[in-house]
Formats: sequence, C-alpha cells, structure tokens
Amino acid sequence: MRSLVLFIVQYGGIGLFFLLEAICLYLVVNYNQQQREIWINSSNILSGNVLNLRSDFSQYYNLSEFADSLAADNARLKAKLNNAQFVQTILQDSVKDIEKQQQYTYIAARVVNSSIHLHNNTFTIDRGSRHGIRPHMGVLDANPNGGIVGIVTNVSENYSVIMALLHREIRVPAEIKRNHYHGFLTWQPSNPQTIDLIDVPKHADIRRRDTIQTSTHSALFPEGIPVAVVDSFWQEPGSNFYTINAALVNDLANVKYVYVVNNLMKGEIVNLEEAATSE
Amino acid sequence: MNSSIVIRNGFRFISLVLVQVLIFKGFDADSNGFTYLSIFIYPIFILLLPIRTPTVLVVLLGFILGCVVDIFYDSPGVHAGASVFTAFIRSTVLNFLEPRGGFEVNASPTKGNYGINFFFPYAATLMFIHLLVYFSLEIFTPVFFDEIFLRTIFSFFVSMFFVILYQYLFNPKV
Repeated sequence: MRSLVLFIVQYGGIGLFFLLEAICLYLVVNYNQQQREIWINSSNILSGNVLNLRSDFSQYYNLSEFADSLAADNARLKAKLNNAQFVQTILQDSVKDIEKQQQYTYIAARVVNSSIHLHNNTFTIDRGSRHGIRPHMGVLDANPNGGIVGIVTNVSENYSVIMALLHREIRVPAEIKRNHYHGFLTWQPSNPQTIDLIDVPKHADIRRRDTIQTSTHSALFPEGIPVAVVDSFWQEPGSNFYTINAALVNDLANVKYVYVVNNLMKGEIVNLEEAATSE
Repeated sequence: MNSSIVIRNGFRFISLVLVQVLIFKGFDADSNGFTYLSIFIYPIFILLLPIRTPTVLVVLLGFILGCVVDIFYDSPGVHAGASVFTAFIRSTVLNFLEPRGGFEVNASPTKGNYGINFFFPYAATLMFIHLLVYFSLEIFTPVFFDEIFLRTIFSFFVSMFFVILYQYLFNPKV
C-alpha cells in the first residue's frame, strides 16, 4: 500500500495530468458554445475527409466492376441503334408502314488473353455459352472509332476464343463505304495494323483514304461498322480483281473490351441458304 | 508537511480567486466585443506552492483552482485546462532554473527566497505558458493563431506586472 502511494506520488503526475486535461477538454467542448461549434465543424471536416478517402478507395476498388456495367449498358444501347434493326417496311397503297424488328443484340465482354504477332492470332474473352455466346458470332471492338475484332470459334461455359482479324483463315465480307463494292477481308501474316480486302471487281472505283466497312452480306456484323482505311491497291497479274491493302481503324494490340454480336435472324438466313443450295 | 504551509496556501488560494473574479474579471479590456487584454493573477497560487510538492498534488490543485475560476468566468474547462498544464510543467521549469545550491525543502520559489533573478524568469515562463494555453483553449482554432498570440502577449505584460507587484507587496517566503 505504501509503495503504491509512493508510486503514485512519483509517477502519478503525468497520468493525472493527461486525465485532467482530457476532462478539461471534454468540459470545454461540451459546455462552451463557441468551442463546441468549432469542435463539431472540425470533426465534421476530418470525418468528411476520411469518408471521402474511403469512398475514393472503394470507387477505385470497384472500378473494373463499374467499367463492366458501363460496357453492358453500351451493349444495350448499341442494340437500339438503327443498324441493329431489321426494317420491315411494307408499301401498302402508298401508306408507308415502318416496322422495325430487333435483329442484333450485343454481349459485352472483356479480353483476357490475346496475341497479334503470330500467324494465326486469337483473342480470349471472359464470356461464354452461359452468357449466350455461340460459335460463328462476330466480335466488335468497343473502341469508339469502330473496328471489328474477329469471329468466335470456340466457346466454353465462361470463356470464348475468337479467331482474330489477324488470322490466316479469316474471311469477312466487307465493302467500300462510298460505292458499296464488295470484297473479303483477309490477312497475310505481315503487319498487325493492316489488312487486305480481296476480290474487289476491277471496274470498281477505288481511291486512297476510302473507308472499308462491314456489309449486309455478312450475317456476322451489322452493316456500316468502319473497319479500315484504304492505303494502297493493285491487281494481281492475270487476275480480274483488285487487292486492297488497308490500315485498320482500331489497334488490335490494345483491345480491352469487345461486343459479341448476336444476330437474331442468322438461323433463318442460314437455313434458307442451305435449303436453296441443296435443291 | 507543515500545517502552517497548508493554511497559508489555502488562504492564498481563496484570496487570489476572490481578487481575480471580483476585481480583475471586470478589467477585461473590450473593443467591439473582442477582448484583447485579460489580467490573470490566480496562477500565482501554482507558482508559489512549496517546491517539493509532488507533481500529482500540484496538478490536482491546479485543476481545482482552474475549476473554481471557471465557475465564475462561466467557461467550464478553459481555465482548468490551462492551470493543469501550468501545474504539470512547473516541475520541469523549476528543474531548469534550479540555483547552484539546490532548493530548500518546503521552501516556496519566491523572490524572497531566491531573489528576483530567479523569480522573474520562473514566473515569466509559467505565466506565458499559462496564457498561451488559456487563449488556445478559448479561441480553440489554429486558424486565428495571430489572435491567440497577440492576446497572449498583451495579457502577459499586464499580468506579469501584477505577479511581480505581488512579490514586492507581500514578499512571501512560503
């Protein structure tokens, strides 16, 4: 007991000091109008900053989720564009009855793996059969300039593999935007930033800087998506067709988000064409 | 501890508080509601406690003194906080200013015991700290640091005048 008293006498000063100062501060803050207001305001500023910091952090943390939801929103909006609609316009006694039917819907996906320097390049995306992706669907770049990425070849439950435009077996119908001459996009393993448009009739009027876009001949893509810009063109010896070398509008090296195109009428087209050829 | 020391300090406590709240409280110089000069003499009680008083006791007495003054000033905690701080820092200041021969047991750090060359820096240091803490607690925001500092300086000179005057008037030994 005596040693306790001695201990308190010797070392209690600092403890008592802090205790009493805390009590004083409490009294000051609670029973003085001015100090109380300052205290409340300051602590609000402090807690506000801390909460801001926390929300900034969680926003950053949720950024990828946020980007995903934006991409999904974009896919929904793209499906509302005119080129995603099948126009069923019927002329009846000069009354124009415009009726549109949904033809294309889009599934947003994120690229999880890609190659561009091989001979046969592929992309892997994080959407699969569970999300409605089937083989032979077209894939668009989410880039605002447009551009296409390739065609879905293999689908698993959660992932899909895309045959990229930069693939030796790619063959996508496309047209010159200005005059709608048709050809096929192919790629020779040379430059990942250019692509060839072959089988363009030799009487076609082609100029440098012409835009190549997707055409209605393809059931994979909605029409009018810009793909490339004509750089040079020539006739292979003995050929009746032009070969056009064009620069891609998108850079396949930095594709992050893509839209997989679901053509709701593709089955109908394919069935009809099959029936016609088997006749 | 000698009972006469307790009685003398108790008497000093009461008289200082009475003079403070009955006389000097009315002397606060105002202009447009802004007090820039206050006279504080009650810290003399803390200054003149016997040198060997344990810090625990000094801090406790400082708290009681500040609370009593706060009751009259209607500012709970402000004077008490400053007094507790002054009381706690007192032993440090005393150690710094300890004369070559050391302090006598039971003596008080007064002009009468150790001379004005000891008492003036001792009182000045503690009074300045006391006023600085007091105005910091009263204004309560570092935004008005210049106001805290100016009020501390003005009040310091006038209060110090009375603290020294007290020594010359009563020349206390304990």
